[in-house]
Amino acid sequence: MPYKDLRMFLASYEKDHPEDVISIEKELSTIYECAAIAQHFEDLNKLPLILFENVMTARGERSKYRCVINVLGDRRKLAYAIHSTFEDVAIEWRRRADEHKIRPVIIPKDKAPCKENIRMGDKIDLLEFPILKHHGMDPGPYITAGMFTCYDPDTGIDNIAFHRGYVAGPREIRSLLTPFTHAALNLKKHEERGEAMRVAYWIGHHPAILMGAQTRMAYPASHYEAAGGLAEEPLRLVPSETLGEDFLVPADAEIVIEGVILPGIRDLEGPFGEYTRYFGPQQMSPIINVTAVTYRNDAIYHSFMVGMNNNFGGTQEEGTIYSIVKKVVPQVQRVYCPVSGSGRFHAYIQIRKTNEGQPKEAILAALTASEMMKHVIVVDEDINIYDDRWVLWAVATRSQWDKDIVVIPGCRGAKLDPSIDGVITTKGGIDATKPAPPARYSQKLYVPEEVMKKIRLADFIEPDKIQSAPEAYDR
Amino acid sequence: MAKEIWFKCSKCGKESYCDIYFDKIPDAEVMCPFCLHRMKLKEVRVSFS
Repeated sequence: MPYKDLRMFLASYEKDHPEDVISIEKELSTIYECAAIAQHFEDLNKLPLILFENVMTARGERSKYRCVINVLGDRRKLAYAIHSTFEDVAIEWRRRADEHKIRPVIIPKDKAPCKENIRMGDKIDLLEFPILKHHGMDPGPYITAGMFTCYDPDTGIDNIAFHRGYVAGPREIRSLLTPFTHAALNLKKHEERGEAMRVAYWIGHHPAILMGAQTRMAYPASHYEAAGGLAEEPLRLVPSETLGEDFLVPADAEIVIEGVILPGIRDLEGPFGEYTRYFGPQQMSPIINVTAVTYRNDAIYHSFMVGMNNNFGGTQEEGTIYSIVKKVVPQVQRVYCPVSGSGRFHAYIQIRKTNEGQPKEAILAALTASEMMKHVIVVDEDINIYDDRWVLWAVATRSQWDKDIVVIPGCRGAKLDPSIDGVITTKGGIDATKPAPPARYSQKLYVPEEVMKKIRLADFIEPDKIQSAPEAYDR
Repeated sequence: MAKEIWFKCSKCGKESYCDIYFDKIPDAEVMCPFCLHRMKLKEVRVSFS
């Protein structure tokens, strides 16, 4: 029976959406050139899945491995990965992670694809993989789609999340563990005991697995179980090569990097082009001393284009916000975290308003979803929350700022938000809803529906002419 | 509301920045992200005042 992995996803997605998969045979360098291709597509507002077949490494040598990007950076692909829809993917993501966790299974090492190749000691060379240098002020190649895995020393429960990793040498990675993250908490616990923390990065897996593993969860809670929930099958795990039999890694990952972080030691890392679309400043970050690299035959390296027009982080936040708001305002219909807020800072909440006060309750609830959530706009159900224009139109025509604005100073904020003072931010929201029924409000424009259905463009104008008409500038 | 400390590499002359907490690290070093040269922050800090 085949198990969900990156290769299964790539084959399936290309079969169903060949128009959205691009394979580039021409040689490109990991140093900015692959990122330039991604940036050109972002400028076109397109996010195709791209496979770089021939990549030159940071050393100027041709890598034996391929590199894939844009696996996660598109809401439609996320929906495809978990058999959901554009509108429902965030809520379904949250629901499966909360209510349908599946315990992983452990398989023998000789059955694990990720053990097809094993490198240890001075045979390890991270720089032979096509690890990309993305933006102009990055100091070198960065692991961006690596699932940073560690364990809570008190309970032995796994913790997993994307954490950027600067590949500072063939066997050295410096990883940013920002304050408030569970990985940072685990490291603190280890350091207080004077112990090294065992860690792994695993790279390249089915996006359903990555979505589940990256889910924002309570602490401690197993992300491996959430990964199984999203994939709707148990995640196959296998014991590590150098970190002990109790340190488990995904058996079907393309690449697994094992290592240890020694207590109290930090080194320079960054700046790095972050999700905010700014360079996050240089940090003193923990150092992973790599102890083993295991990988599949013909491994595919997965890179995440941080800071480009993706909505992976936003889609994840939506599910969390929806479940929190639903508890206090059951009239919530949908939530969207647009790329205009870097996927984390803005939330648009659509409600079916029945009473005054509900929008402000929704704002207050949504602002607690994460330290990153900063601005919340609540609109009525006739507003398309997936289009910034109509949300701002609601703000323009349904809010008065002397009574519809909420401002809350002194909140915990996102460290990478360049506008905040230290880690303290000001959060807020706008009630851009009409008065609750039975009150009436000015009527929104409409052309009678029966006429809209009767009069179709294609009956009066050649399709080519419709297609070639330039889009409005203000789009 | 400064979030970063800007510095100018003493080797390649390019400017970059580190986190504001580097001010609290005694004798902090920084690394130029362009040429990877390491230097003392206090010697290469850019003042905007």
